Amino acid sequence: MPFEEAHGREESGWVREALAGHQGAFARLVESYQTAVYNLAYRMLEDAGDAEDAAQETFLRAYSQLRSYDPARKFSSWLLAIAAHHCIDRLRRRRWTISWEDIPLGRNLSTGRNVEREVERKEEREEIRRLLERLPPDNRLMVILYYWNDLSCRQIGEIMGLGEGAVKSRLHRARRMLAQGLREERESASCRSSVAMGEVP
Amino acid sequence: MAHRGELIPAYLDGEVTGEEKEWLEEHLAVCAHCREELQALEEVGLLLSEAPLISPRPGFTARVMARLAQREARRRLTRVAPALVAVSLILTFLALLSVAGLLLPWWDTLAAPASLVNLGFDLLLRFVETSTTLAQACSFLLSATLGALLPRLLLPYSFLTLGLMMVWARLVIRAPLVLKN
Repeated sequence: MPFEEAHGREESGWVREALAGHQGAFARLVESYQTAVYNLAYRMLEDAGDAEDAAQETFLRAYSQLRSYDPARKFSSWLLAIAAHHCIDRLRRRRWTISWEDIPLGRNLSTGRNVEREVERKEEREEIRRLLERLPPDNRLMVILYYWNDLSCRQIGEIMGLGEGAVKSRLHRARRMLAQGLREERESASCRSSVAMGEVP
Repeated sequence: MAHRGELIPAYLDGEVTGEEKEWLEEHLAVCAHCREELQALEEVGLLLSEAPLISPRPGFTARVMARLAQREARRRLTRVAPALVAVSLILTFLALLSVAGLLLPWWDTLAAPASLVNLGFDLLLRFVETSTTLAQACSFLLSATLGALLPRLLLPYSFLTLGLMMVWARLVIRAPLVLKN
């Protein structure tokens, strides 16, 4: 596509300039990819503060590893690979720490972040979040890269060190888990509404 | 071939041949289980593909660039660190040498003290003597050196100060400049 080609040329120019030490060029790359990277971090980590930090860290790592970037590869895939590995690392580390929000008391103390999150949560977003939560981190990452970042199974395989076939079968398994989750969500919602209407004693 | 329902993932991704598609659709017409599964998977696909991309708060780029400037400044400082360590090691070595030099004349007394009180007085006296002599020697050396070199040292010293100020300006003042970019 002509637009993508032109964008790609512009982008490789920015990478070259950033390598030569022009921070303004790197700022342009950040501007272009901030939403893709932040969305990935947000969907993976399910917390606005963590996502902001992880997205910033992704760009800092990209800057320091810029020399290892192969221009034959798509810049977005390279950047998303850094983001993906960083988020998986964070989730692994999180398993060994207890966040204040995991303690029930913390939920009642309405902090700034909680208020901010309350505002940005819509019903549908909440449903997707609950569904993604059911998936193990690797599968969640695949779903995010496939649906939001529009990567092909081959590109996802490159990022995760898997073959295209393995990505396809895992992606399908993830979709089945999500479908199962959606069914359960809908069933419990209809059950709640019938209880509210007094249909069930 | 195995169960026709196994074609569902490929069907969803549009990766089936016309023949396979026909074959699966025939099956879907009679198998309620596979129909339900296909419908549920399509619903999930729709829900995910319609979900919006979430953007960070405004000013994200500026925040990244500010952190980058901080990290770069720290990196530059760590590059200077080995030189600082080397200088401090040399200074420590010199200090140890001079302490050893001070202790050397008292070594016999320290090794075989006549009595502790005597030793105490002796040490104090020698310490005062040595310090006075050392202080006199140092001040003489310093005034002689400065007297001889000051006119020549003044220019390099000014350059050094200027250079240090420039380094400081680059490390500290640059951050907000980058922020505005």
